[in-house]
Amino acid sequence: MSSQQRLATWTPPRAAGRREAVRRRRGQSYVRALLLLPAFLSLAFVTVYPLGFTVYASLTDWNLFNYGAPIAFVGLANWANLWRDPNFLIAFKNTAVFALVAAPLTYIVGLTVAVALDGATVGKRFFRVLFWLPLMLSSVLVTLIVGRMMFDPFVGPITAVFAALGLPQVLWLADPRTALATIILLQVWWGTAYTIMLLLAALESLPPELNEAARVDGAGEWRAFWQITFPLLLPVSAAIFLIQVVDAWKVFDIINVLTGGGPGTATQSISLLVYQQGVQGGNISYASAMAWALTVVIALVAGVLYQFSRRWAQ
Amino acid sequence: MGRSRAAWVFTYGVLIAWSAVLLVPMYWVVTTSFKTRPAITGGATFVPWVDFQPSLQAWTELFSRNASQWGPYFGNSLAISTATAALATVFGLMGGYALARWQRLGPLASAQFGFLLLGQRMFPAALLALPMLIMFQNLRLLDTRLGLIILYTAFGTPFAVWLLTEFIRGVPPEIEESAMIDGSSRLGVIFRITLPLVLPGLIGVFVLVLAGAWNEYFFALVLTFSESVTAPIFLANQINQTESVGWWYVSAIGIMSSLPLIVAALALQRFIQRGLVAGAVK
Repeated sequence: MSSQQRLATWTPPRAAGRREAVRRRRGQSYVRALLLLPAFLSLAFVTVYPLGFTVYASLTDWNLFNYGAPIAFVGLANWANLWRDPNFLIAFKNTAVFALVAAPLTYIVGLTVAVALDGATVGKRFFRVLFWLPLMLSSVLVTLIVGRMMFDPFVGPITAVFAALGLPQVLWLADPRTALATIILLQVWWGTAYTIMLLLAALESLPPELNEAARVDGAGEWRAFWQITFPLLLPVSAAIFLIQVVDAWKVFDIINVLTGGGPGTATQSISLLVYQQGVQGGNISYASAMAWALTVVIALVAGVLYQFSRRWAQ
Repeated sequence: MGRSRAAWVFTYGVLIAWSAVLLVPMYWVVTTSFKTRPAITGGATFVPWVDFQPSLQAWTELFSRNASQWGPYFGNSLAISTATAALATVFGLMGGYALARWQRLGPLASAQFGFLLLGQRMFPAALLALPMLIMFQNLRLLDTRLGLIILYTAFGTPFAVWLLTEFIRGVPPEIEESAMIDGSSRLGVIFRITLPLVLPGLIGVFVLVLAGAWNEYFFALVLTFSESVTAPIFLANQINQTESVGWWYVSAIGIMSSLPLIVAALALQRFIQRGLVAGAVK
């Protein structure tokens, strides 16, 4: 306001330089706002609007298929119902098991492969490219090919190999006892590529003298890794773990394509239940409450891991 | 060297084992696309010419009789993903330039703003899909390519801004300033000097956003149903429709849906890997 007034009034020649600077700075802030406009709009579109909308919807009895019926405000009734809904509790348990097993398993496999790859001398380029490829495959393709086809009890090679080795027949996805485990294996197959890439980048950025110094001290390679390399990987590891855990809690694609939550409710996940009840069933108010419960869990888990990563980074 | 024999065995044991885990399914999908019904329904067959006779049946079917069946869906995916990648890259360059060159943006330090951009990763698609469904219905964007382009661009732009900020920070402002003293405008400097220097980042962002949009499943499932159905939805529907799956045909479609992306990714892997690593760890 004051700068506008200043521009409107006459100023002595000595202030001309300052006036020019003010004009340029204001011009710059327009440019800045314009440059960031698409990013701001995107962010509002994919966060502010949906978050506000779902909070509101979760407090009503809005159902898409109640055409024309007035939408009533019901307070926290949807939220209260969540904890009495056996479908939600089963989905919650499955998702928790999935995240608690898949994320650490992905990290352990990824770390093992990344360390091996870092130590490779022959063929490193080939392995690096191969290990990274799954990232470019769609979730649907991975699910159909690696999941449905490889584990198919009739045409899949895994069943044939089990039979040839004299192992008992496993129905994998059709058996409630093994369905979730099979989906976890699939997630590991797919998700490890990213973990390998990030850990390898971190390993390669470590100074090579570290391990040599340890070896001169007489420490074995095993001990050198755990005492020197691994602690240096902790900050990166926390970031990777954060990504893996958050993604695991959100699991949808694999399960919807592969089992649709079955057999029975053995692989029902929270995201899948939100889709079934909100999009397919039209119960947008209850589904909103459910999706928010998931978001709160993810935020809590992410917050805890973030604190750890900051502590380790010091 | 000082590396022990045990370390060597560990290294190559792990590398070969993980290669096998990745390659066996890939081998399986490629060979299956050359199988016919008897080579599948009779139980698993492993080696062409040994326990089954390879055939081009699935591939000729795909490119002659059934081209009209999958063509529109692949066309939708191609149009949506290239438009999304182009828009997000341009928006990312704009926003990234602003974040890299100015320390403060109103009340926020630009580092905090960058954190905000990535925070959206936390929100599950399930939460965002419900409002999108209502909004798309009201705006008549349901089942349109434009709707998906807008949505995917909105998801890709914050990611692109974040990555490109890192790349643009790598170009010292002094280079731009010295060119501006020589009489060029700021826009001219950006196009002639900054842009060529961040080209690797732009390529990486373009391919990553393209891949994300090409492979996206959840929102396409919720927001399309006939006109603008994309390739992943089409592929997934191959299984749901019938009990007896034409695996040779599904395999061929699957290969076709991922091969262009794999070739592009292999050709440009240097750029993409840098982008992916910077995006996660910073």
